[in-house]
Amino acid sequence: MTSFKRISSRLLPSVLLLSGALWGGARQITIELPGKPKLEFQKGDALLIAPFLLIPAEKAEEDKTARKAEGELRSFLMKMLSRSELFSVKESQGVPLPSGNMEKLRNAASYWKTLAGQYACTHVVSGVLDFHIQDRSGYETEEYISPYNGQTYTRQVLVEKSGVTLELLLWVFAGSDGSLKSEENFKHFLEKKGRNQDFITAFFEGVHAFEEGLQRVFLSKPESQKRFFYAF
Amino acid sequence: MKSAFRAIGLLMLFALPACRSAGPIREAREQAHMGARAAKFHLYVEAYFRFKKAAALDPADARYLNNLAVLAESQGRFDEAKALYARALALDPKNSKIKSNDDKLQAYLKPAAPKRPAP
Repeated sequence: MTSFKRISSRLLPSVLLLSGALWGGARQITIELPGKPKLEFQKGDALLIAPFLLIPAEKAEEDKTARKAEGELRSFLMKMLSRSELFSVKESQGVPLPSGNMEKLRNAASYWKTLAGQYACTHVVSGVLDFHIQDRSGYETEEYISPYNGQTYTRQVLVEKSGVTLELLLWVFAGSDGSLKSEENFKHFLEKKGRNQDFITAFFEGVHAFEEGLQRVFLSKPESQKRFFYAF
Repeated sequence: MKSAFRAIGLLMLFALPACRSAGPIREAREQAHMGARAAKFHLYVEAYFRFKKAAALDPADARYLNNLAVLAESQGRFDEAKALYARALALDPKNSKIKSNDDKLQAYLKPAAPKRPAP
């Protein structure tokens, strides 16, 4: 090998390496972009929080709790949606629902249109709330070590538990024609020890579990996205 | 001795394009270097300013336009970012990274399809 070839064979990789370092490569960086809600709102839109249809409970006591929960859900939505700078929020007062049938209510376009007109709103928020308390008490098998002979036995013990099922079907209707713009379903189950629980507290635990999903429907949240960025 | 001259000649061959473009291109690279450093420390406004300078000094380099577009996106100027990606792709149509960035921006800007309610 001549000295020229020797020098050039050593030089070329170094030059290529250097140019690579100088030119740099692309790496992925994360940028924060304003997230888009599922429903698009315009500045100046107004949302009306209408009553929610309650799935009737078997016991009168449960029914009372469910009614209270419905009122709490509406005030929760009021508070959450009032954070938006795009739209204003109103709450309907003493408006009866035209039907107790879910399907009929969903398709009652003229009712939703009239209701939106009454309150001068562009959208109506309503839906179906199913709040049930179940007694889930029962016998459970547990291990027991005898203090007399140290042997392990199994025994049946009564465990008192209450289950709270919270299901929310959320509808958003267009005020202009009463058509259904969005339908979202949220479900949460909570098990509590003991029989006599504060079920409204349990209800709020359930509603807070829905908070993120509800926000995604109405409010914009920042979202992270990856982009290639050249380093020099 | 003869081979040493050849080696010097080879070095000059590599150095020649650099010498020819030493002015604005080297300055553009310096601006880009500072821009990348600023972006690393999340100083996006400063980084944007540096890459804008770099792109003005060396308008043939698609990478400056790509970085400028990413910085415009991060500041919420989506129309500007879209135009910058288009310019970058016109310069370097086969660049998969710029294409990927442009596709992601297009997907982000696309309005969400209306959800069909359950029957």
